Amino acid sequence: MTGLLGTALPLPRLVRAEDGTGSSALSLPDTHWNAALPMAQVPQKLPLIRFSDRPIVLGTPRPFFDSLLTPNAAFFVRYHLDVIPNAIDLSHWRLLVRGNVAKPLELSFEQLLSRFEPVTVVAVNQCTGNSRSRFAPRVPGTQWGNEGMGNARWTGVRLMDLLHRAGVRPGTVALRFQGLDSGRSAEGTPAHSYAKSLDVGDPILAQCIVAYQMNGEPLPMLNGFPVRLVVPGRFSTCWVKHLSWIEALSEPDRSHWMLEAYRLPDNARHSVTPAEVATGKLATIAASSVPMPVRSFFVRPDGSSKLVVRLPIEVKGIAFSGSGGIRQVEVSTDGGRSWRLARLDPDLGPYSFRGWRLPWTPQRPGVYELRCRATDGKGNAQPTEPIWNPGGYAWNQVETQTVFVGEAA
Amino acid sequence: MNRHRFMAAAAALLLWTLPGSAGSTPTNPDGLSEAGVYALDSSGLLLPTSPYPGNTSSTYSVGAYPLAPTPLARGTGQELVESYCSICHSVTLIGVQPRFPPEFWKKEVDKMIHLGAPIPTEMVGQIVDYLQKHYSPVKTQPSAPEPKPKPSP
Ligand code: HEC
Repeated sequence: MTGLLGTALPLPRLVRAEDGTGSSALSLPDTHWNAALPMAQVPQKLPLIRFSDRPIVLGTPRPFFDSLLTPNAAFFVRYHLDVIPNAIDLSHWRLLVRGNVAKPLELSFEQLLSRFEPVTVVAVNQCTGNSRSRFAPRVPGTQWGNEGMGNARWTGVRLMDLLHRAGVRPGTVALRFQGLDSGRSAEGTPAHSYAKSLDVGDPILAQCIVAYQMNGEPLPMLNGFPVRLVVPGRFSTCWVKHLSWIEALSEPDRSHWMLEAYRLPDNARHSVTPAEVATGKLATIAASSVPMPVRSFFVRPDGSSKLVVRLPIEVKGIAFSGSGGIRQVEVSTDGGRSWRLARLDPDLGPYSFRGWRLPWTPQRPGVYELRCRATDGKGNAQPTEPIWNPGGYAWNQVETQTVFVGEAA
Repeated sequence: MNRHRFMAAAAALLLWTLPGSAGSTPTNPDGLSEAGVYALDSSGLLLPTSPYPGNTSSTYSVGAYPLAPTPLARGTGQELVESYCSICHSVTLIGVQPRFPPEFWKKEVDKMIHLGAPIPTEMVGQIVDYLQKHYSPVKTQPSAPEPKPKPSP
C-alpha cells in the first residue's frame, strides 16, 4: 500500500508557478519575508522558524504580526551562547547591582515585585541583524528574513530606581549588564560570556525597565526569565536576558561584544561599501547606542494566495521607529509610482508597533508590487535604496510585497 | 479512520484527480481543476515539548531543549569539522549560511579561533578545505567541474 502510494502520488514538494514553466518554484508562500527554513518546537513556544538548535535561535512566522502584541509563545528567540538556563531557582536567584556604587544591592525576585513601583512600556524588541538576508553582497550571521522582531507589553522596575538605590558613584562611565547564559568556551574568550554596556550618560537609561512581566505573564524562559533588560527604541543586542548582574564600570567595556561585534558605520544610514570596509579605516559606533531606524511591513496580503479582481481587501501592516514613534505610513499599489496615506491604528506608545491599514480593490488582474513607507516622529522616512554594512545590521529599506490578482470570471 | 482506509481513500481520490497545471487543465463542469493530491512528507510533524510543571517549588524549569543539528555534508574532513566546530554551537550554523566564496571560510575559521575555538594550527587547513569544498558555490570548485551540457539532437 505504502509502496503504491509512494510511486503513484505526485509529489508537489515545490509549488509550480502558474505559467507552467516552474521557474519561480517556491517551497513556502513567501521565502522573502520569512526564511525558508524548517520549524522547531521548544519549551513554552509554538513551532517557530529554526535558525539554530544550539544556541537556540528561532524566528516569528509572519501571521503572528497580525496581532500588535506578539504572543509570548511566538516571540522570537536569539542566543549567542549555548549554555542557556533550563531551570532557575528563585530562592537563590538574585539581581546584583555592584561595581562603582555606594551601596551594592542583592535583590530577590520578590523584592523587585514589592519594593519598587511597577511601570509598563510597550516596546519593540528587534534583532540588530533583522532582515540580514537582504544584504547584497550577503554577509555572515543569522540569515533573518523579517522574523527577528516582536512587540510586547513589558512590566517591571525602572532601571533608574535600582541605580538610585545603589547610588552610582562619580567616575562611572558605563553600566554593564550580564545574564545567566554563557558559553562552553574557555573563560576569558569572547565565546564564554555575553554582556552589554550602555554609557552612563545615555538618555535611554531613563527609559529602561528591568522587566519581570511580558504581555501580562512571566517571561518565557527563552525570552529571559526571570527578568530582562528592556531598552525601548534600541536593538535587542542590549536587552540582556536572565539579567543578574548590573555593574557600574569606571573603565569603558572593551569586550568583543562591545568593540568588535554589533558595530554600525558611523553615518546617518549606517551604510558603506565593501571597498570602504577593505580600507580598514571605517568609523563605527555601538549598535546599542543608536535608536532603531524607522521600518514598516506588510502583514496582509502576504502573497501566499491570489487576490480576486474587484474583491475589496484591507491592506494591513505594522510600523515602528526608535525615534519618536510613527507619524505616517504611505502605501503604493503600483510599484512606488503613486502613494496613498494609510490609516493608523490607536497608538500604544512611541516604542510600540503601530498598526496601519488601507482599503484596496484591485481593478485588473495582474501582478502588483505593493510598497509601504513609514515616516517617524523625527521626520525620518524609510529609504528606497538598500543599505550595506559588513555586520548586516539596521536594514530598513522600503518593503515590497508582490501579489497576484486573478480573474473573477 | 485507520491508516489503511485513509490511504485507500487517498488512492481512490487520485483516480479522478485531473493532472496538469491550472492553465492547461480542461475545465470540469463543477470548476474543480485538481483535488486529492498528497505528498508523503513527515518533515512537518512536530511533537509538543513543554513539560507540565508538576510542582509549586521556587524552581522554574522547562526541561531539556531539543537538539536536532542539520548534518554536515559527507566528505573528507567532516569528522574534524564536526568535533571542532560543535564545541560552542551545533554545526547547523554552517549549513544555514549562504554559499560564501572560498576565501570567506578561511576568515570565518580565523574568526572562530579569535572567539575562542581551540583549533590547532595544523588542523586549520583541512577544516578550511572541507568548508570550501562543501559550503562555497560549486562553480568555483575546480575539483567538481559542472557536467557539460549534452549536445542538442
Ligand atoms: C569558541 C566557540 C566556538 C567554536 C569552537 C566555533 N564557533 Fe562558530 N561561532 C561562535 C560564536 C560565539 C558565534 C557567533 C554567534 C552569534 O553571533 O550568535 C559563531 C558563529 C558561527 C557562524 C555563523 C556566522 C557568524 O559568523 O556569525 C558560523 C558559520 C560558524 N560559527 C562556523 C564555525 C565553524 C566552521 C567552526 C569550526 C571551525 C566554529 N564555528 C567553531 C563560537 C564558536
